[in-house]
Amino acid sequence: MKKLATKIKNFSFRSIRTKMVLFFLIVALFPLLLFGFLSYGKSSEIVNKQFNEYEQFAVSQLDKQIENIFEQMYVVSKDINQYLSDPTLVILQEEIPRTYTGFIEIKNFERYLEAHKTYDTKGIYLITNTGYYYGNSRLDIHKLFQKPFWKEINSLKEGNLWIGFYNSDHYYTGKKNEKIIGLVFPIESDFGVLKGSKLLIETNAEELFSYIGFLENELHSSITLKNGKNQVVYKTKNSPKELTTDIIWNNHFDAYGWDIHVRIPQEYYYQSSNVILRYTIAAILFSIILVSVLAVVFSAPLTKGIKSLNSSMKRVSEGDLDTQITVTSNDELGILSQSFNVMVNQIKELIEKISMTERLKRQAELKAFHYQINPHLLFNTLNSIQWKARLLGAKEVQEMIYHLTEVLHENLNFADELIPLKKELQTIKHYLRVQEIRYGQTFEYIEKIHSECLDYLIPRMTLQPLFENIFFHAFEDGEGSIELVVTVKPEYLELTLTDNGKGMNEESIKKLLNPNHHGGNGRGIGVYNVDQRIKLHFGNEYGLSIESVVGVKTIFSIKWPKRR
Amino acid sequence: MKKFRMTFLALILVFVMAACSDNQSSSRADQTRKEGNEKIVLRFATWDSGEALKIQEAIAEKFEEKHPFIKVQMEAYGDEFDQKLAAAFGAKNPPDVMYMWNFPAYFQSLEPLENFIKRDPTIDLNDFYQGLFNYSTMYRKLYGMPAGFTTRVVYYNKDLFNAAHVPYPKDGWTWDDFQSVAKKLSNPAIEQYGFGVRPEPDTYDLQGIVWSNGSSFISEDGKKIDSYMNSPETIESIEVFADMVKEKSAVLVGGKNQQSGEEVFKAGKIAMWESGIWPLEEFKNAKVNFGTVEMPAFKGKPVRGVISSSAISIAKDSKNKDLAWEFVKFFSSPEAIKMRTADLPVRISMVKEMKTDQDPLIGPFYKMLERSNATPSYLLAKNWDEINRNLSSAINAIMLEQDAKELLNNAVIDSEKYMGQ
Repeated sequence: MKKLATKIKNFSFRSIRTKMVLFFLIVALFPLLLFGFLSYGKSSEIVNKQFNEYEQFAVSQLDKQIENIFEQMYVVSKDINQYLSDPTLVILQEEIPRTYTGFIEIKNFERYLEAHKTYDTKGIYLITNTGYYYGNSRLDIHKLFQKPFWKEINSLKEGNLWIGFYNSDHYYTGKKNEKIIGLVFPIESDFGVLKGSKLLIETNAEELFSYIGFLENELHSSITLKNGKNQVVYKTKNSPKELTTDIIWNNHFDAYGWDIHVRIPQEYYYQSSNVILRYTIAAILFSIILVSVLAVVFSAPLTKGIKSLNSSMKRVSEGDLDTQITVTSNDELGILSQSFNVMVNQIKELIEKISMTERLKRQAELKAFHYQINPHLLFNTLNSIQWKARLLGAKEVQEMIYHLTEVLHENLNFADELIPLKKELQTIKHYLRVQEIRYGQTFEYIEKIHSECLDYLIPRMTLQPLFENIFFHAFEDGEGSIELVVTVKPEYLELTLTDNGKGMNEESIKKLLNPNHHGGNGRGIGVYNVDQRIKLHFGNEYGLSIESVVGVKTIFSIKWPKRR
Repeated sequence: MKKFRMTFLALILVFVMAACSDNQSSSRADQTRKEGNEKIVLRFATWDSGEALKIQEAIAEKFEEKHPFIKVQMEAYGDEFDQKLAAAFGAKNPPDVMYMWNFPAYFQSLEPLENFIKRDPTIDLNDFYQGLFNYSTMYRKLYGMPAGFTTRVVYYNKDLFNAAHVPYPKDGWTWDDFQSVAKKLSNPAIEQYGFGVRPEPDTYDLQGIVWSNGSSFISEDGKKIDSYMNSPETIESIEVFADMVKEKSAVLVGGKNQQSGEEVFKAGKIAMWESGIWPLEEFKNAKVNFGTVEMPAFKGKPVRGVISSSAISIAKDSKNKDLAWEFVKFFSSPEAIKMRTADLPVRISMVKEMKTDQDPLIGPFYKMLERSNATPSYLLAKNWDEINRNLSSAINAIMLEQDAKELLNNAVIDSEKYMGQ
């Protein structure tokens, strides 16, 4: 439990698991609530209706039972009264029998009374003014006279009747605490024995009270019975407080003046629908728990996958590129893991490549730095040699060193990769001057350049390697003629460098343009580098091409875009 | 895939829940119906109440223990037994098993028992006091198994006898002895009398006395009452009580608005009381110092007794007659009879085993049983109820000191029309 509690505490609302639980809850709850409350509504409506009809029926049964008992007693009393009040029938000669005929009369009369008994009749007695009675001899008349209700009976007028409940303790035999409904009816006769006599009809009310008990216990109803004088003759004991929301039935028997008042507290009246409501809510709560558990259980492997992906990503972001996720499933998560692995590998490769080139660049820079240090010494030395030569009057040496310095200056300058064409041409002029001093007036140099071209940019050191190639391979002792033509085409610039040297065959041209044929000695690499540099700067559609006729001429042509 | 699976599960859950809530309401109704179906209900009607009823309930419980699938529903009709039984038969909804004594009135609605007895080898009819079968046999068919019985004896208050220095009565005494003893024990000044006379006695109970005088209310073939009901012997036997009232050696008790004889006896206001076994326990409980003795004889004539028997019968309209027979059999089995202490055992073997007849208070009942072989009038005449009304009116008037001969003659004349042609 504690574990669970802390787990819940640690549950961030942003976590996918929480979202999933919420999602499932919504998915489950919506139809559940819909079905639950629909079925609750419908079934409670039906059950309530049935139950209420049943209750109404049950209450009306009480009415009927009471009315039936009254009716029956009333009919019997009327019948006996009519029989007694018929003046042509002299029924009772002597009040207390002493003679044979007296006994026979009374036996016949008592038989007549007995004949009116039905299943539930407790007794039928005719009680005279003096306290003698006719009917079976089980009645203890003294006890009956002591009953409180009998006082009322004495003041009962002819034509009226009394109905009430009392106990059966005025019988010699049988149970003393049976509930009885009694009806007392004054006989309408002025003749002798019958004058002032009263007819008492008693019905066993146990069944009625057991029914009342059933209504009280099963339907939680409170029942009040009032007689014709508005006196309460029965009231449910410990009945709950009367509320205005109680469901109430009232019935009034006009013939006897009795009132039946039945009250059921609302909560019990709607008890059955409350039960359904409780079960529906319980079902919803149960399903919430079940859904939560299921969601947690089902989302656990999913979130576990996502979590491991997440941690792997973190590790990658922290630099651990050897991170790989073991792929366990074929679903989207698996595919994601797979692509993640591929991505990590690609990044790894890329980074290796970049670091390699970075390393190379670093080396080159170091080299360049190395060279930059050296040129100072070189240039200083060359300058001082130049000055010594001038002092010594060696004009040619001084001039040669000046041009060499200029050429070297350009060669060792790493500042700008691209320079205007005119600057490159100037460097070539210094180079040619050095060669002239070296070989003498042995070669011819013709420049045909459109003045418009002079400001277009060209990679540094594009032309010098080509000139070097001419002097080293095409000419012998610097003899020959060189023609440099730069023409402006609509799209690009074209430079042709033609010499009339030895020329070269196809194989040599291929060798010159294919770096694989060169060793690390640097011979011939210059021409290849020129082509590569142009291609690097401007793209592969540009570059250097070579045409040659062996023994006649060689033409280097360069195509490059117009750039300023 | 997983997502779908879970939604599916959730949906299933919802439907199951909805289905559950629907079932809820219907199951309650089923339960109540089931309870009613579980046991077969056997209705048993009795007229007993109080202690005697408790004994019968205990026997019914024993029976239920042996037959767990049966529920015996006791219907204690008490004083309204006849009224309720008649209503139940009339409605064709009688109890399956019932107490019975008035076979002439009901035998047509009862199931004859011969077939059950023939099929059942375990039942031994010879163990019963054979005289008892007379009381539940109509037209040579047995309609009830004897359950209990009583004869009638004279109870006497020993304290009153001692106080008056009168010896206790002994078996073989005569009505003359009875009358003289009663006279000695009477003292009207303190409202103490030798005997209590019922002003409206049941003519049935008087038969033993009439028989003892060699007479009867009706001829043995049930065809004649003249010179039986009004014979000098009948008149003499009935006048015994009326004379005692006249002489103030007896007092009228138990009439309308009067204390019952038992109450008066318990109060020590009468020294002797004639009755069956019913008040015996009551007197014991009231700590009355009393004894019992055989009924007195008329000089030179044998004493004869009348039996009040209760039998147990099966309704013709019962739906469970076989189970009802099981209950009837159990009710007259030694086990059940042993439990019945409110009346006397009907099995000879049980009486021997329990030495019931050795009990000085009970002994006289068994001696009276030996003397009870006459057939009571109600079994002889079809219209006895009507005849009896005249007879009892006459006897009631006789007890009020009117002329016995004239009244009984009147009763015979008035009753002749009810006699079968």
